[in-house]
Amino acid sequence: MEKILPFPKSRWWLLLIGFSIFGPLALGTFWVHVATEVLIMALFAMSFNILYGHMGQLSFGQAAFFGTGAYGAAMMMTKTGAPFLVCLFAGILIGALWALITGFLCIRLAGIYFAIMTVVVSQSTFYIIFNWYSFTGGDNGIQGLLPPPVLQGPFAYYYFSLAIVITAIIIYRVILLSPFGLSLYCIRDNIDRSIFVGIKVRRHMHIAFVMAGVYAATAGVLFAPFKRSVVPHMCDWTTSGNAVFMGVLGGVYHLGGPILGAVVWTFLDAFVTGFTEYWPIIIGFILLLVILYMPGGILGLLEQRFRRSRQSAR
Amino acid sequence: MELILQQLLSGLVRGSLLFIVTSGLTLIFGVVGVMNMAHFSFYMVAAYLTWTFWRIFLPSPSSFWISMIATSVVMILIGLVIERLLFRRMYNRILSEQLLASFALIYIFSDLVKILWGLEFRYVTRPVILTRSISILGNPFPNYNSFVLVLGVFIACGIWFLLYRTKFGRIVRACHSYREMVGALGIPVPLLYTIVFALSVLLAGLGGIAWTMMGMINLGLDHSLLIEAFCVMVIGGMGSFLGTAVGSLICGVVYALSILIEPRIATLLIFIITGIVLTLRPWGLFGAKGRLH
Repeated sequence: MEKILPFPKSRWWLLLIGFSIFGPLALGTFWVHVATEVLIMALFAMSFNILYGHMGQLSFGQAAFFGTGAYGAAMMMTKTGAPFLVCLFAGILIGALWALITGFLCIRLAGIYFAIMTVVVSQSTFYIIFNWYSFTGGDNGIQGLLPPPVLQGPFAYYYFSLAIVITAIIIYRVILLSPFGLSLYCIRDNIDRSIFVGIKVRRHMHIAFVMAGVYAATAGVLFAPFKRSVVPHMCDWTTSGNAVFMGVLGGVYHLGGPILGAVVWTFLDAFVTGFTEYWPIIIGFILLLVILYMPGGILGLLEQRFRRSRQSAR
Repeated sequence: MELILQQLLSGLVRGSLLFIVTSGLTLIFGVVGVMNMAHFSFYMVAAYLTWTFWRIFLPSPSSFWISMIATSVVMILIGLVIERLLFRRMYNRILSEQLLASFALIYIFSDLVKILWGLEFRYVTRPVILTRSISILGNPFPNYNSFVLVLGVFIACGIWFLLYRTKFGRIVRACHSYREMVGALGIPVPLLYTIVFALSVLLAGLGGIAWTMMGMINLGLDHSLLIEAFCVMVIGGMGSFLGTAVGSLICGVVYALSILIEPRIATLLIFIITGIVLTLRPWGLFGAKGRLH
C-alpha cells in the first residue's frame, strides 16, 4: 500500500501511442468502434482511479458525472444547436459543476462515509434525470445526437477521441506527479499525518473530486455522440460499477491500470455478451477473484512476478 | 388533514421497513466494522424466497407464516455460508477491499435471482387476517401495514433486549469497543462475528419478507431502498441503533409527506436532509464523533 506509484517506462508509452495511432488502420470498422469505446472507457476508469488509486477513497458514484456530462452535451446539441465543440465543453463544465456541488457532501468524511455518499449522489442523479421528464426526456433519453459530418465516420471519431484521451493522459500524469498529486498519496496513506504536516486535506480531496468529475464528464461527453443517444441508465450504479471494475482489474497503483482495465473490460463485454446475457454474474466473480487473490490488479500481479524473477536471477 | 394523517401513518410504515433492513447494516458495521454493500441483495433474495416457500405451502391457509419461518432459516444459512466463504477472509483487509468484495456480491446476486426466478413480477397473496383493516381516527389502516409496523417495533425491542439485557449482548458491545481484549478473555471472536453476520442477513431477510406484504417483488428491489437506507445511516450516525431508528422514521415520514406535495421530489428531499446533517453534524445525530475515518 505505502509505495509511491511507479510509472511505466516511457518506451512502453511510445509503443502504446504508436499502436493506437497506426493499429486501427489495419482493423475493420467493427474493431475501430470497439477501440473507440476502449478510449472513452479508459477516461472513465481514470476518473475512478484518481479517487481510489491516488486518494484512497472508493467511489461508487462516478456515473453521476459521466451521465451529467453526457446529458449536458446532449441537451446543448438538441436544444441550442451550438457548435459541436462548444456543446462538448458545456457538457464537461456541467459535469465539473455537479462534482463541485456534490463534492461538498462527499468529501466531508473519508472511508465508508465517502463510499456511501458517492452511491447516494449517483442514485440521486439518476432519479433526477429519470423523473424530470419535461427537461431530460425521462426514460426515453435523448436520441439522434450526431457529431458534425467530418467526425461521423468511425475512423474520424476514433482519432478525435484519441487526441482528447492522449491530452487527458498527459495532464493526468503531470498533475499527479506535481506536489498536489504527492499530497494526495499522503492523504491516501494516512489522513491524520497529512493533517499534521499541514496538508489541507479537505481542499485537496475536493479538488481531486472535481478533477475526477471532469474526467468522467469528458468520457460521458465523448460517449453521447459515439452512441448517438443518452439514457438515464448512464447515471446509475451499474455504470459506476463499470468504472470500479475497470480500475480495480487493471491495477489501481499504476498509471496504465485504468487503460489496461478498459481494454480488458471492453473486449470482454463485446465478446461475452455475444453468447450469454448473464454478464453481470461474470463481472461479479472476476471482481471477487481479483480482490481476493490479486488486489493490485493485472499490472500489480505482473509487477510482482517481474520483480521476483529479477531477484531470483541475481 | 385526513390525507396528512394517512400519509403520516404510511410514512411510519415505510420508516419501519427501512429500520428493519438498515438495522442489519448498523449491527454488522457497529460490531464488526464492516460495511456490507450487498445487504440489499439479501433483502431481495429474501423477498423471492418468501414467494417460493409461499407457493410450496400454498394449500395451507397459513402458508405465508410458514414461508416466513422457512425464509428466515434459509437467510441465516446464507449468512453463515457467505461469512465463512468470503467475509471471514476480508476482516483483516483494508476497508476499501472489504467494500469492493461486498460490491461484487451485488452483481452475483442480482444475476442469480434473474437466473433462478426470471424476469416476471411476483406477488404473494396476503393471509386473510392481513387483508382486513382497523380504523384509526376514522381512517382505515390496513392490517398488512400494521404487520410491518409491529414487526419493526418488535425487532427494535428485540435488538435492545439482546444487546443490553443478555450476556451475548454484553460480549458484542465489548467487541465493539475493544476487540483484542475480548479475544484475550477467551471468547471466540471469529464465531461471534459469524453469528453477528448471520443476524444481520436475517434482518435484511425480515425486511424482504415484510416487503412481500407491501408490494410487488421484482428485480429492482436490491437498489429500491439503497439511497434511503444509506441516508438513514448517515443521518442517524453509523453504528448507532437509536440513530438508525430515528433516521428511518425521519426518512419514512418525509418521503410519505413529500409525496403529497410533489411525488418526484421525495428522494431528492431526503438527499437534501442528509446534506444538511452532514454539514452540521458530520458524525450523524447519534453517532460517535471518534469513528469518522
